[in-house]
Amino acid sequence: MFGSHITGRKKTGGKADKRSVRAEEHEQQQLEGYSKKPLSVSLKDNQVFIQQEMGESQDIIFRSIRLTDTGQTNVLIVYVQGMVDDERMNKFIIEPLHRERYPADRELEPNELTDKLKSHILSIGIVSDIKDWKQFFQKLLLGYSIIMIEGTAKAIAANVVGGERRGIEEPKTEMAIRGPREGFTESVRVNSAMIRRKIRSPKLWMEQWTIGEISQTPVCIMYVHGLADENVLKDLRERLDAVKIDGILESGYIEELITDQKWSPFPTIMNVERPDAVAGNLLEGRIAILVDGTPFVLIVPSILNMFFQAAEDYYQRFDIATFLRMIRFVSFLIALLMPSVYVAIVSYHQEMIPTQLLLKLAAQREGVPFPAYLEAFIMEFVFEILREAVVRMPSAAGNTISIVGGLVIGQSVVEAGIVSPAVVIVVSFTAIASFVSPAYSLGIAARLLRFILLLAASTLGFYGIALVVLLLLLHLTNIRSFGMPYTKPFAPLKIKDLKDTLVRAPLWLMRERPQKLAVQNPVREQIEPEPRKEPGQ
Amino acid sequence: MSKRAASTCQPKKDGMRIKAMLLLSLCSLIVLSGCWDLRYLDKLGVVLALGVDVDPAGKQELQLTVQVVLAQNVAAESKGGVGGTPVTTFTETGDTLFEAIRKMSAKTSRRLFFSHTQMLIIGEKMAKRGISSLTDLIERNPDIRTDISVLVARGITAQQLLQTTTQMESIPINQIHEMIEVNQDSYGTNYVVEVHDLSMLAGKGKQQAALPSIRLEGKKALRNTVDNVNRIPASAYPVLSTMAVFKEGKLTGYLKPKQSRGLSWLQEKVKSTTVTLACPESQGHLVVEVHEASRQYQVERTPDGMPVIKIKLLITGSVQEIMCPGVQVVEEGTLNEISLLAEGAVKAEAEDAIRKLQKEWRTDVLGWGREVYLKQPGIWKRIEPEWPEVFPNVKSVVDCNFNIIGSGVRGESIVK
Repeated sequence: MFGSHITGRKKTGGKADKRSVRAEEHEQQQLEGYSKKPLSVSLKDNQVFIQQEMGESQDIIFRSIRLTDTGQTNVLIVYVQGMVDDERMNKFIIEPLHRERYPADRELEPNELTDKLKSHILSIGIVSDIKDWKQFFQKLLLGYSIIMIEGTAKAIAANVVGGERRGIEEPKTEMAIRGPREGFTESVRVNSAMIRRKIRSPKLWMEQWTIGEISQTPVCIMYVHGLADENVLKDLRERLDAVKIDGILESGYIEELITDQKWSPFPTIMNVERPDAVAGNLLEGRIAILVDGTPFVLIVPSILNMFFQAAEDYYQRFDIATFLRMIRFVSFLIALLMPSVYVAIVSYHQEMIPTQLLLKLAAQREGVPFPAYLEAFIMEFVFEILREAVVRMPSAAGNTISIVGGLVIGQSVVEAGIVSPAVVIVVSFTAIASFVSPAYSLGIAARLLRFILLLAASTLGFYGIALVVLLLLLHLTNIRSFGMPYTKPFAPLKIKDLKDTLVRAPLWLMRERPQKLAVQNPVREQIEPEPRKEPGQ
Repeated sequence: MSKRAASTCQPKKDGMRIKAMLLLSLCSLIVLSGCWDLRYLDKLGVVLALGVDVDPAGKQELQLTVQVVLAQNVAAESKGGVGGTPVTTFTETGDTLFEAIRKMSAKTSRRLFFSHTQMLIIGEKMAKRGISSLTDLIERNPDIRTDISVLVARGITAQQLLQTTTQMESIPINQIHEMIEVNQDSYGTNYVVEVHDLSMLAGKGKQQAALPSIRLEGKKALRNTVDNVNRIPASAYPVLSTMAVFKEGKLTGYLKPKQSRGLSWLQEKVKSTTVTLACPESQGHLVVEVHEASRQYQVERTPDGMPVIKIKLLITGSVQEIMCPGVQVVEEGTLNEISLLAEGAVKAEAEDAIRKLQKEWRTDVLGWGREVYLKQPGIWKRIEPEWPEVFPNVKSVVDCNFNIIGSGVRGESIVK
């Protein structure tokens, strides 16, 4: 729905005039239009203006309080119901105001009252001044409570942001046997605090943007100053500045708008749900992008290798972690290649498999009405449908799908002789292998490419597979993520960085931070360089 | 809005068209498949063995029999059902193998597929007529492997052998194929010879061929029925015989079992075997198992310029079975005595084989010509033209060194 309003960073000749027309259309809707307009000194006028601008929405609450005995209303509190914490609101704004009573002779000047409110009365941590309607609406819609005073064009915004939100739960997409159980939430502040709790350093810096012309979504970047590459930072800032879109509802919007590779199935920006994973990446000199409203935090620059690393790798012993890493790489290859290799073998290269296996496969294919490649296509497609059904469906119906999917598709189809058991085995194994990847976004890439490979295998056999794989390798070596080659450290080869790729070297061997990322400060502040020697050795 | 889009997107349109064309051509790959060498697995008749006989009618050069797997029956078997036979055979005559293969298409509903062929079986009559021409097709055709093993059907035709049902392996050719390897691994009277081994013989030195042979025992008439394998034991079953010896590509004769193993010793083909010895000082036998055997050739020159072949057999083994009273294998002296006996036995087998091959059949199966060529090229150059005449008179010395490294857990024999 917001997609139609995107104007990307890429400017082509035709787009300039389109944009200006659009800008006019949107002028009234967007907050920029309010920036010149000051508040009125009259509370009445202000209230009327707000109601008019916001269409008399019922969730905008106006609460007036009299501070004097003369009968005149002189303080107006405006907030959005549900976005403020009612308890704090009552306790720290309304209650103190109620206690203030000024007799007619001791009435304060409006400006004096404003200062006094800020300095004495409101027991709120974050308080700021508001001078125009742009600031007013920004704060109001972030969940601030706005206190306006009769007789002055200034208002005070008090941070009582609250309301019901999802609490911190275990991350749903990145499970770990061992490791912290907390995952990010939808609130950018809660998320940034979770990162700060992991990296308690003054050098953990943050910068904030408000992106989305209408949605006004807070977007933060976090990095460790002195570790993160200044060039990448500069590049990232420019890209974020250039984002023009109506709304950011999820970090996927940002990912798509700032990514280097617009036409690649491979993700060049990683998303993570675990604070510990983000912290680990920040410590290696990468930058995190936090977007309000989503638990998925983006990491830049992201290279292929990172998608095979799970946070848990660093919590388990290195030998076990290495074994798991290798399983992941192998599984990725299986998920990518197995159906196409099967099709190539049974359609073109029957001489390549052992005789006994050939006879078994031939026996299974006996009487199957479809050629092998069509069979594989059908089953892969059926599997994708099943998978999508399970993801979207209400969880109560989950069992039904697994029974229908498992029994009907898996068993009956084979028993009826419509599909050979070998294809079912291949497809199921591929499916299992594709779930091994810790990064879902790379798994999707493999899903797409699998069909292309299947097509190549069914037309040209191994030759076709080799061609597509070659093209893929070419493509991979061409991709960059914020200036970093995607296939690093394999190509270009950085022997030192290979310690955290196919293998996960012991921590005491990984003394140096990944090259190129941490140019400014290449050596990790390390634990002892080597394991403590046994006394007496 | 749409008008503006149309006008502003003009330069992009060509790119879009190219992309659309690319996509279209990619999609057409699905439809176009099948033009190339796509072979449906269920449209192939997998040939496991080729059998070559003389054309019984005598009109054409040869008669080819192929053993083809019936995959549907193999599957029925694995599910526990009773299907038909797992294989069938097709027979056709022709002047060449390839002609016969293509003529066979008149009898088969599937394309014959030769990449998984495991054996070439040559009927006895065909073997006598000559085998040199048969391997050419297998060497030349990229579809057929050259590591398929070759066998002579002794006393029967290849067709009869291929039509025999077997009990241990449901696919008969698997049984025959495994038999040779098992025999070579545990007894050593036969050894595997593959097509490329045969074609290597044609090189310098003019080595002659020797092939393992197999015969049929029992009631041959019942061999091709399912009833055959429904009895214990089977009515007719293939049995491995001894090595068949060729001269100039024609079958000369079959060795006796001991000679056949003698040939295996000399060809370094023995992997493991047993040597039965008479007890040193009493009645009874003892058995020595061979673990390792190797052979070294040395070619020396006599004063008259003739080669002398010195053969050294190095064998390691252990005592396995003692049926002699009073033999104390715990004593080193006894073991030395046994090893001397074993050396004598092996040497006798080897010398017997040499005598038969060299003096009687005058065929250089042992590859002495090549040894002379490699080790005494000077002599070879001179004698090469008359090698067939020189060979029977070449002197040879066999020396055997049998090293016994163990005698099992018992010191004394149970037999008193």
